[in-house]
Amino acid sequence: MAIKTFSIKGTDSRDMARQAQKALADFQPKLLLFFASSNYESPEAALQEAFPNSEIIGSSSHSEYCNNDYTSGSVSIMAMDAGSVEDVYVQVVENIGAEPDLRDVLDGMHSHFGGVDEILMNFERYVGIVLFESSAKAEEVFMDRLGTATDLLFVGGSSSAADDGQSLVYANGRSYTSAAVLAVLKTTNGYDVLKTQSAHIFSERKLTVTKSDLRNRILYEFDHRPCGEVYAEVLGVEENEIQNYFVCNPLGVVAGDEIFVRTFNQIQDGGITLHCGLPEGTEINVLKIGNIVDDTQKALDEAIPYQPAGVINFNCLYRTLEILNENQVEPYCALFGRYPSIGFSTNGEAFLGHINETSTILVIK
Amino acid sequence: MIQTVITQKAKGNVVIANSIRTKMYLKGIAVDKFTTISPDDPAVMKKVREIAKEFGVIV
Repeated sequence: MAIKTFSIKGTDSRDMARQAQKALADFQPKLLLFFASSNYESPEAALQEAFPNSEIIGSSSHSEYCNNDYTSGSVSIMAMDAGSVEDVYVQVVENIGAEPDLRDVLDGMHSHFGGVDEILMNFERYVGIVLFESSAKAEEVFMDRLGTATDLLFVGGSSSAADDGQSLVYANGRSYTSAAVLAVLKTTNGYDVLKTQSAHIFSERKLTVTKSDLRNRILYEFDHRPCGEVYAEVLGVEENEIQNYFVCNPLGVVAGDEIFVRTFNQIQDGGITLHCGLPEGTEINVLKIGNIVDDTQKALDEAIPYQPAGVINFNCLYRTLEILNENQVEPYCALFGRYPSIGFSTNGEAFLGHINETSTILVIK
Repeated sequence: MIQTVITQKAKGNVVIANSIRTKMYLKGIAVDKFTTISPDDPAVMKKVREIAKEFGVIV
């Protein structure tokens, strides 16, 4: 068996790690990926002690997914052995708010696998996982820099936390804030990446961002007019009502057939804050939210016409709350119960860029 | 110019070509809006040159 997935509720992190050891008896994980409810204290240290010969990465979570189940207060674990991952290389980039130059980091990662040429020649086998600690709010700039420094595809998400818990990411026995964990996997049988956002184009009218503050995620103008005024015009509502439409009608960068969602936060300082910054010059459409279960099933069925070794689902916390609100947890989880799978509710998703209200999914063949 | 950046950076790999196109969209260049007969927009051309430089591509 190349991948094992399981969910654990332990009395504490040590108990959780003991249970994980028992579940993985006679299994030698190369890589152990975990999403731990922020209720657990130092889960990374307990797991590192239990699995000293494995690379271990993870994130804190508001809520978790594992196979057929949605949980809170649990730890979802995916263990991958050499049957699915031939090699893995992990790096941590700290202080991501300072916009670090990633070229050296990526050069090191490329070199570990024999250089860029080796990766390009076997591109279908190499894939990256990125886990952001979400408090830095620097994911869009980081993903832009990452995409400049490498052609490798990175998929992942941003940490979340339950109630008063702390948002953290983990790598090799340590926890980090304001950091990104990068892992490059040389898969044994290849991979697929997909994203599904259950958002569709509401209006074909293209709006150009003419004034914005990318780093502070503030939008000011579309087409040289106040963005709220133009957004209201597209929706056909009064400007003083627009906040009522923020959740159901987010914005989207439409790149060919792909939509990259940007969600609204609040009206502030003459603009509207977003959960992902938009650079000036970007063309966007106003979107409408669809049915998450139906759209997810369509995306999974189209992209995975085979039995995968494992599936990792980075599912936006907004989407989790919507599924809970609509009493759709069971049908949603049943879609992922068809595969060995884990996931968690993210504070932002990553694939080619930083995304909102989306599910980014890594499929290990 | 946009297509040159994509072609040179992708080096014949279709997956990389598609990802470069998407990365350019996310950087604020609406790739499909521009064709070989589009009038030159100095602001867009400046931005594409900057992106090309970041990618290590000569245009």
